[in-house]
Amino acid sequence: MLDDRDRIFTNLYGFDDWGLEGARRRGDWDQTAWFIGQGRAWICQQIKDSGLRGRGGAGFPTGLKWSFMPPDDKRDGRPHYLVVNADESEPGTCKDRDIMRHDPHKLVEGCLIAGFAMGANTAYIYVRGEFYLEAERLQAAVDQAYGAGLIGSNACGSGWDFDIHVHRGAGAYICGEETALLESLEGKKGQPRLKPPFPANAGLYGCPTTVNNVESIAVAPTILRRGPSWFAGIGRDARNTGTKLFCISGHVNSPCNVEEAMGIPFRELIEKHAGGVRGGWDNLLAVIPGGSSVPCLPSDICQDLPMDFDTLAGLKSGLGTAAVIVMDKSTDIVNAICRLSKFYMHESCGQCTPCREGTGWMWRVMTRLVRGDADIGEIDMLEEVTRQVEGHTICALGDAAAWPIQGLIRHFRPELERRILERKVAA
Amino acid sequence: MSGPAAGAAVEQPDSFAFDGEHGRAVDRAVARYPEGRQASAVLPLLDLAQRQHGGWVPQAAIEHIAGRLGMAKIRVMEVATFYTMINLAPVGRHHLQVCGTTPCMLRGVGEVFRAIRDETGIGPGETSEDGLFTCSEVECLGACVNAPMVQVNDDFVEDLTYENFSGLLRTLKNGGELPTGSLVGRHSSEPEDGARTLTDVPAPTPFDPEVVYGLNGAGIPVSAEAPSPAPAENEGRPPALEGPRGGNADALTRIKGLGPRIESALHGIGIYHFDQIAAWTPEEKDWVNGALKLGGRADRGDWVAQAAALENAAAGEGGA
Repeated sequence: MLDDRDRIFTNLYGFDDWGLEGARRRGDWDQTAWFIGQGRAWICQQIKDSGLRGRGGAGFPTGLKWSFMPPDDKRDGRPHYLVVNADESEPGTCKDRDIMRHDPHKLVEGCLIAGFAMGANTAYIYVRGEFYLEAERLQAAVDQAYGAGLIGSNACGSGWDFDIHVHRGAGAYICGEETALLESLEGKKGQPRLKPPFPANAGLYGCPTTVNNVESIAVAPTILRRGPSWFAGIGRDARNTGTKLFCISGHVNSPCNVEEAMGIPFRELIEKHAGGVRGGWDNLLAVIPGGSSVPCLPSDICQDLPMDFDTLAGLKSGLGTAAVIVMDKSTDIVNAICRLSKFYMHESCGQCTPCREGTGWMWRVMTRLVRGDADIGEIDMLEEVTRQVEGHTICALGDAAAWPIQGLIRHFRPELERRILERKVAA
Repeated sequence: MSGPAAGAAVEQPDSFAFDGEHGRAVDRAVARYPEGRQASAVLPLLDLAQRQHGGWVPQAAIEHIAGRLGMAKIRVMEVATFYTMINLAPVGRHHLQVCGTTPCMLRGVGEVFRAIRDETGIGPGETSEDGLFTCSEVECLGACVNAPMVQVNDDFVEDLTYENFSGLLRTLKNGGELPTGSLVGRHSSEPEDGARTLTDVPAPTPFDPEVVYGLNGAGIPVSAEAPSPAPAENEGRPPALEGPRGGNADALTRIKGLGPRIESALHGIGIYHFDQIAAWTPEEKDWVNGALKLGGRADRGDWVAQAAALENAAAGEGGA
């Protein structure tokens, strides 16, 4: 188990003061100006060396992403923007909420450091609308930081001017997609943009922009403070480093959020932190290891499964946001996945036909499969349709709608067939 | 994807204007965006209009906001219909937004709907006759480790059962205060039977650039003077090796509390092996503590004893 001393979010549960005084006691805002003094390239290099990969789900190397922003000698006069994606809506995921309400200064300080590293003087933090109290708390932390001269003009005495604005959304999962988020921030419907141009060239208001997840930004100051080799030293290998916030929900004895080492074995994660599977380990049916978008895995391959990006991708699933949804043998697995299909149908923005029509079609077939009211051949037809949606849309919501169904068919086909045959026999 | 829509039956007010308090909030919201980009404030303004107008946005407010931000009315309207949190028709005083997505479903959201039906007589999409409650099934609200949960207006109530949510609804019916957060006594997202981590977090070591980046570090000159791990007086410095014996250093990170950063710092002062650490005198340990700014870690973790144990274990393996 990760030592408490190696945990970054030491106020994850909010037992300590969330405010500036508590944050300073926990080591935040300690010599922030020194890091800024080392220059943009140096900060990007440290983050690259740490091996930090984006915590929002896709796992793209964070330092590399920052370095895509135009360097100082290639600036063309347009402002640069940092946009923080706090539109946490992936079913199963509730980690950024804890950062915002219990450790907001980690995010605020991270914005300053990341913003400087990409040459941005302004950051917008896009918080999902439902997180009203979290957004208020974050705004209060931003106000504290302004009051103490930590941000604003000459932030921390570093000579860098930096403003942070908190912007609330209004209930749309799709706005967690980075270009949809930018559209929404510009006051439009949250419909994703075609890429290229990528946001680093033309993002918010057509200016160079980088969108990062809350957790990716909030860990940056601690990585710099303890050194990239500390962060890189945690985890299974050089491509899966550091600590990660896991959200353990579903059929466990005590669901919780916990910060653990990347690559912690699944069983250890569940038994040490979440009190084990409800009804005992043998009662495990399946797990969705990284939020609703990733395919589920059956219990027999979960035992020693290291929870990291590459292991899970190798099993045709994914670490995603590390939102672990556990299902025991009492679960109607077809219905559980069917509910996710309904989710994606509801959240499709309607822009691309394969997704707009496909998500509804897939949900309707899934509702029949729950009852077994289908032909055996329709399982393959459904699989085929998921392939027609996957990869044929502007953003990844189409893929995200397809993958849970593909995972279900891959691992639980006998269950689907059993329902169909039983219904046929009964008729 | 929108909230309750404007039906024919909705009685629309003739005009709308922001009042003093909300008007000031509008000014602050608009000021957050660059000149010429005021349309960015459309969601904050719709939210403020909804708060001022008792939980829904009338058509007059859409027109007012369009005028305020210099947008076509249809642009504001399409935003208002796109986002679920914007209500274009009145809702009850307590808007029960029940999360029905899989993590809440697995933890028994059906019991929550049953409680709402039994206490208020309404189901998803309905408003009670007394206008007190509207029930909506919404998608994941991001409190999955506290499932099942409901958002009542702005507040989350979590860890729900049939009994505790029925009780909450009765409290609201009687005009009582809404209890918020977990209804089973959890502080936030820690396990219900108490936090298993973060129970003993020591104060962090203050950041020192020379320790983190100066030794064997990133190759960046930290200060004008060359960083030196050893202070001027070398009294108490433990015996150093030129390099690891046989070219193989021990994995010092096996000592609890000793990370890769400190390991490389130890290499910098010629410490490569468990037996070297096991042989430290108290003075030598203090010297290392001071030179590497360990903040007493070596004492707390009793590295000398740990190193001795690891050395013995290694010797045992070698001999077998």
